[in-house]
Amino acid sequence: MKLHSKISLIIATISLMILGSCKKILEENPKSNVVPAFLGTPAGLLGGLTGVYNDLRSSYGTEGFTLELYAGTDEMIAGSQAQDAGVFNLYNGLNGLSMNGGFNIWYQDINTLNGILKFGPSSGLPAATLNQYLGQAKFLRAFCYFYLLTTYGNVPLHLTFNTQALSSDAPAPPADVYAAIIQDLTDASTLLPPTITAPFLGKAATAPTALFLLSKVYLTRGWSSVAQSSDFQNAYNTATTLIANKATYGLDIWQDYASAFAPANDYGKEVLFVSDHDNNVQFGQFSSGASGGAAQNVLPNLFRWNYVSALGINSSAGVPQVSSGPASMVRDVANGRPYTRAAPNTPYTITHAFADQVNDSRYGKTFQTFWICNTACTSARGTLTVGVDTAILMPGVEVTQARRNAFKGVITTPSQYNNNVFPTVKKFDDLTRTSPNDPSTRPYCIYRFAEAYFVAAEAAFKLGDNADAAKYLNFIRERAAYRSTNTAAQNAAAAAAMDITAADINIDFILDEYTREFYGEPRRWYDLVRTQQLIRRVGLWNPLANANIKSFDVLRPIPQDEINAVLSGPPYPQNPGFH
Amino acid sequence: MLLLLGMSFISGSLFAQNPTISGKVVDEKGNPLAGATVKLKAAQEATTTDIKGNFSLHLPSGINAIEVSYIGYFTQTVSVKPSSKNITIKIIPNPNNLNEVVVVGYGTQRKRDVTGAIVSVSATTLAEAASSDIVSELKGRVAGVDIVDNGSTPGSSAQIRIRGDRTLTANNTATSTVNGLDQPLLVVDGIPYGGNFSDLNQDDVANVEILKDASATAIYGSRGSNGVILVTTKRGRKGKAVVSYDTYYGLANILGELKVYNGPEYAQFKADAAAGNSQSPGTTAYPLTTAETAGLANGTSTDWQKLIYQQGHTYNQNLGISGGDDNTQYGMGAGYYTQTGVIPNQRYERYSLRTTIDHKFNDHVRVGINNLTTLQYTNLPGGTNVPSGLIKLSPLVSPYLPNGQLNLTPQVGSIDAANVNPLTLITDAEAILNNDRRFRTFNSIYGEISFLKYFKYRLNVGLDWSQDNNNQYTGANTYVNSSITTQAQTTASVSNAEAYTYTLENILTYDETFAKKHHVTFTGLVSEQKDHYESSGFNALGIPADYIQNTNFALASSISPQNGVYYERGLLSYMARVNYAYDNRFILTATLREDGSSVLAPGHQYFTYPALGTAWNITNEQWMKDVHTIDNLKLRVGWGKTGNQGSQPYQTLGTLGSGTTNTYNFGTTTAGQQNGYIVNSLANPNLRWQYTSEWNLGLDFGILRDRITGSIDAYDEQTKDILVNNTLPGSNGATTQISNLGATRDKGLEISISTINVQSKDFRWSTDFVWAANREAIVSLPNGAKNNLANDWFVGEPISVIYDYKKIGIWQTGDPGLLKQTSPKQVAGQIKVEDVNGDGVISAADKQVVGNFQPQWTGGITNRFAYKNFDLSIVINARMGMDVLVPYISTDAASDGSGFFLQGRTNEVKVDYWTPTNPTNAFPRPDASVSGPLFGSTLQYVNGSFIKCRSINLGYTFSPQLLAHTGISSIRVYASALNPFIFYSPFVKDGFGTDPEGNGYGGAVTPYGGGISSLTQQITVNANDPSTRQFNLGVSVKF
Repeated sequence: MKLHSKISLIIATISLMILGSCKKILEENPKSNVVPAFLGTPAGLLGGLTGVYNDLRSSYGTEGFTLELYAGTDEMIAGSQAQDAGVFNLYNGLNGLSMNGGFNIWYQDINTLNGILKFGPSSGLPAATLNQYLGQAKFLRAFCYFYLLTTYGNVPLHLTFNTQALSSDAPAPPADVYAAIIQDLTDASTLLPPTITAPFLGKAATAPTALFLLSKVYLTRGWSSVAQSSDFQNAYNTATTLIANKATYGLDIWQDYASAFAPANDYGKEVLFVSDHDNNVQFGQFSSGASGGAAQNVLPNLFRWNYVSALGINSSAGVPQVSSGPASMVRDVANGRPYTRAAPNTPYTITHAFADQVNDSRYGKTFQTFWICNTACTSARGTLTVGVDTAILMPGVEVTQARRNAFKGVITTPSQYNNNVFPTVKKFDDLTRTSPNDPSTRPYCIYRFAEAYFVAAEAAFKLGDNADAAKYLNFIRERAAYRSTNTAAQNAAAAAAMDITAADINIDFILDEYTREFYGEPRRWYDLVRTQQLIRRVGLWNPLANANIKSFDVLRPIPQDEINAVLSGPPYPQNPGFH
Repeated sequence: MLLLLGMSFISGSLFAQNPTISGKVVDEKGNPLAGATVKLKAAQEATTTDIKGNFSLHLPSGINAIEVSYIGYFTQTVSVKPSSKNITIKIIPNPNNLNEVVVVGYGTQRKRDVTGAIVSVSATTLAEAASSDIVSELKGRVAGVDIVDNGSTPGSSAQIRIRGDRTLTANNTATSTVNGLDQPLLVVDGIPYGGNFSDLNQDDVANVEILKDASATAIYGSRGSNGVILVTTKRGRKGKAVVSYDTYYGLANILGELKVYNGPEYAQFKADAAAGNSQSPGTTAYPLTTAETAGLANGTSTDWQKLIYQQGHTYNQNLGISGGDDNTQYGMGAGYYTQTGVIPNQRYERYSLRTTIDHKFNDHVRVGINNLTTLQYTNLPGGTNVPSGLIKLSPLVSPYLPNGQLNLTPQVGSIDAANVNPLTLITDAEAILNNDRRFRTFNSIYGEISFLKYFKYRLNVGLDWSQDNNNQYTGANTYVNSSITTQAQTTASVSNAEAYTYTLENILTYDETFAKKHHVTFTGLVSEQKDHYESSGFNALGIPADYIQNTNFALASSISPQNGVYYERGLLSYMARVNYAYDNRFILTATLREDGSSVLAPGHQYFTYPALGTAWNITNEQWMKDVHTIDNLKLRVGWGKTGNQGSQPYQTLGTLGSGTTNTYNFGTTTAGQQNGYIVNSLANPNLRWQYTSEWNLGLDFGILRDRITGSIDAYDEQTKDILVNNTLPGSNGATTQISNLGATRDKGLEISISTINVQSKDFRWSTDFVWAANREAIVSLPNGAKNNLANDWFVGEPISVIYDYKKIGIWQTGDPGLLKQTSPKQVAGQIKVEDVNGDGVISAADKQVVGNFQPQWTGGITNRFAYKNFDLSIVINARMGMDVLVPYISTDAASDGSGFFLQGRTNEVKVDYWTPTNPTNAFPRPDASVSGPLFGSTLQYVNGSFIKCRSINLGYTFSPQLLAHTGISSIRVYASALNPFIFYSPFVKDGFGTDPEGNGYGGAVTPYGGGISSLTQQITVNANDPSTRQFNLGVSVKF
């Protein structure tokens, strides 16, 4: 055969082979993606729950989300470096465009959980594991809906797994959403184990978490327009039963208020529920030096003033603190990364709520009030020794000029506090970081067991039993009196001084007590909204926000993205008052 | 006298001994042309040139001119005298030659038989604006081909659009196997060439054909709707081996720095921001530091940009050998291209090899192989946006300490105290690694059998393989860290990606002419293509020492995986095309293609693409024979359907959002570490083809002996079933689903005119002029909606629009409107936006379409001059009447754009801002209490129109006589300038920057409440690697 004939034959053969093999090329076989069928497998169910937990930490502790939990209240004003001072702190121009994140994520979580609840029973998991998975799913679904309901008020309710692309949706009656939440939490409290059980380690949801949230949901509904008559009683019963059974659940409050925030106790007895973080790059999504973003816990930075630049040590009394002379501080791990996003609202927080700094130890355990010099410097009043001399002191009271003159560093008193210079919340400090700019790898505490006493007290108050309310608050107040440096007698005396009676109980006292106990733990907006005190308390204490706040600001506007995306059926309604 | 003349005439005729004239015919570059016809004017005698281009001819008396003609060249008349000896006749190629063969996809056609809108660009034209890839070289050269820069980063490629955008959401990131949704298909030597244009050494390119309309691109079916770029590489040619060597060396300097505040202006800016503090008037969290106060006193004003920018160098050399005999032709090429950036240590290198062999066994069997291999290294320490950091640094501090050492943290004492000195890019270069290596080998082989006289069967096999290896290391205390760091915080990563594509094409052609007047060509095709891509990578934290970089991850304190990617897609195609020409007057091309794609839902995988093209060569009509002023007139009408297979694999199956971003740690022990996912997108079991139907009406003309030639094309295309990520109400559980939605329409007009303005013996001046206007619009949206606010789509508007508040100025003191506006309450000095419904509330209802990115027209003019041995070309291009986004003069509440713009925290691009004593309407009052101005996104919309000189190229070709005994057949030396100046640009005039052309598609400031950032068709001018002006010196030699 001639060469060219052979070549022709080869070409012809190859072409025939192609024609024979071609159909298979149109089949798809994905490999690196998790396909929907995975959802029904045991690993898929766990993966879905993991994904939802990860979404929680992509909200709690991140800057934008956390802002919405505390801004625009009596407790805080916008810090000098606040990102969005006008909108969330001042209610100036708040509308559906202000809220374009978050909302969708909660519903993705809910739909994922709906999928887990749908496919879980047929997954072949052993009953104990299955119950735990279903319990987690129900708890998390209730948690998501509770956030959505208390934030937006009028939200859709979907309890089945959706795989259809729909361009319509509508809000459900709040009563229905409450009912679904209560049902889920009731179920979860029996499905979940009483204490932490692998694989949900750390401080994931357990039966008492579900019970605590259930008590809080009853309490919240009790205050709401869709209240049922038994709500406060149910809230009270659930909370007090939880407190009574605290030993069973391995829960309690620490003797020392400061212990509740000690890093060693991050997974301790007072911590009920967290969004978790870790310095592991993969599972903790730790990113060195990250200033924000998903899964990055920047909570410790938000309420911290810039101790480095805003103050020179030659400043004296009666003048605003401005930079002059050499800086006595540089940024370090111990003193943290300053974001200055929020500052204490001095007239309320410092002067009113934390007025008692003698018997109540919580002021000193909440705020960092002195800064030890960490860079060599000399002021007009002498040379500061690194690691020894106090560079900046906030004694919490006004001082004489003589005292200032005798002090090598600088003294800042309440009359000098503003949104740039102020005592800093130190509860969340993370000293294990390698760089002052690293995000925190401590877990973000979403529910602390101490709050159960507040739920009991608030429910008792609403049930008209102020004596009982005082009893539960006194648990908290007596603990707040304790100082490890005091003698037993001194502690007993302080505790006695802290005790209140039924006559002291009113809604303002309860809300002030929330401030003292939870200051800096982002939640205030919700406490004020739940107790229908937001407008009034902002009017009492926050003139900047009061200039803009309107009666409808007790709900957040429905995100415009949601309204824009509803293209069939009735348009999605914006909350009343918002444009 | 008369007698003498008469005698010589008589003697001439008596002895029949006409004098012999002789000469040489050369092409425009001075290369000898063999086979050119040399004919006596007004006589029959003619001869052809020999292999060296030489001819000799008897010149009868009474004849004083000869005509030189050669296929593809203008016929040239040269006057001669009996004494003319060794004259050199240079002839010029005629771009409008109708017998020229053009590549049309799966074959070739004579130009006269073409029915579609096809433009050819030769390598010579491309080389006039030498760049690292052919796309940049095409700027301003072809009507309707719109090219936008992607920055001056060495090795970066530009974005190309043919006849506008048609897809509602575009993916501009061209991975190795999937082109961006609106990016044209690139075909090299007949085989689809996915991925980066920069993979292709522009010196290996012989010719580029651009297929614009559907009747031409329909043969590429599902990949045809964005236009097709057919690249023909240089191949071997018959004759003695020719060795060519081309090289140039270039120096690049930035067009200019971004104008920022100098020392005293910066101090004033900070003071103005404190005065403008809307929360606590007169205060600021960002006062001057001790060092800055001292700097202000002693006159420090550091220009950080000047300290970093350096001269860039480009060095390109290419060696080629080609030759062959009647049966075998070979071509080889080796190239090396290197470019260093204006940012320290930025470097791009490309090594390329090309081999082609064509062999003819006999009259029936031919085989050939083609190999294009490139190896590229891209080194970009600090990434591509170093300047965005430079413009923020304080001018009041010194880069060096008094003792001469580097001032590592120049801003110590400020909130940005931890920012590291950018000079560490130079001083600590070892500690910064960002290097990418890409190797690609693109191979095609063919076998061709001719049989039964008119039939030809061809098998094309393409095998394309590429590998990318990315290496990164970020050392401690370098500029690439956002702050001072420790060794424990050093990061490293390595990632590898591999892609291959194989293509098998069976092509059968039939070519016969019946009864002299009926010319029929049939092409049939069965082909399949498979794309495969996979990647993996790892990140590490805590490398013990800088010198280790990313070489040993076992030494790191922790490692984590990157998302792995694996996908495959298949395409199965059948195509038939008939081209019928009657009497060279009427031509009809009919095409039918059917494509099946794996990425679509079963039952919707196949789609049929028909096309019909007709042309009428009016000049060949009998009644046109006497019209001598018109040399060519051809009318073309075409219609076709084409597609776009832009959807990603596995979309019809649905995926769960998974990977590295959904992990969680339950507690701090490894037992609690879990991988997770979220259900966040929905499968679409009905996903089908997106398709475009297009009408094209074209007229080709040549008049005054082809002194003026050109084409005019008008088109109207409609795209339907557009593949989009449909935004759904988030409350249903998933926000997006890829869907077939909506319709868009593109209409446009394209004009190309080439003229020869002056043609004399020594001087020649020609001009190419191109102009195009495209109007895109959304025609319909699902459910008959007039708009889709979730995606910023509006019926009747272009696809990508700017939907935001409309800035109408700055609130001035005492404006009564301030009292009427209740939400948000505003003060003088803030941005004033239009309250459309006049309700005193600025809300979503007041957003409006305030601009778009569609140029009103684009165009270019290339002027070429030749005088004796000198040649000069000047290329000018323009894009007019569109917006660009300039994020660095804007910001929103988040970190988009220039974070902290007008806050007085950092330095920034100098703008005309409002103060009580400067009541401007340009920029708002600096305010130390907010991280960005209210409605700040409205500041970034800037008129992006420009007219630029793209290149100037001056060359000198040594005359062949001079080289006669050197063994060198030709030498051309040249000097060229790229981007030498800008004629017109409002953006530059306003001082916002140096180059309006855009250098990216991301980074836009999100309008309040969302928008824009979801679009990738926006064109942005970012503070990225600055545009440069480059001067080259080069030489081309042939042996």
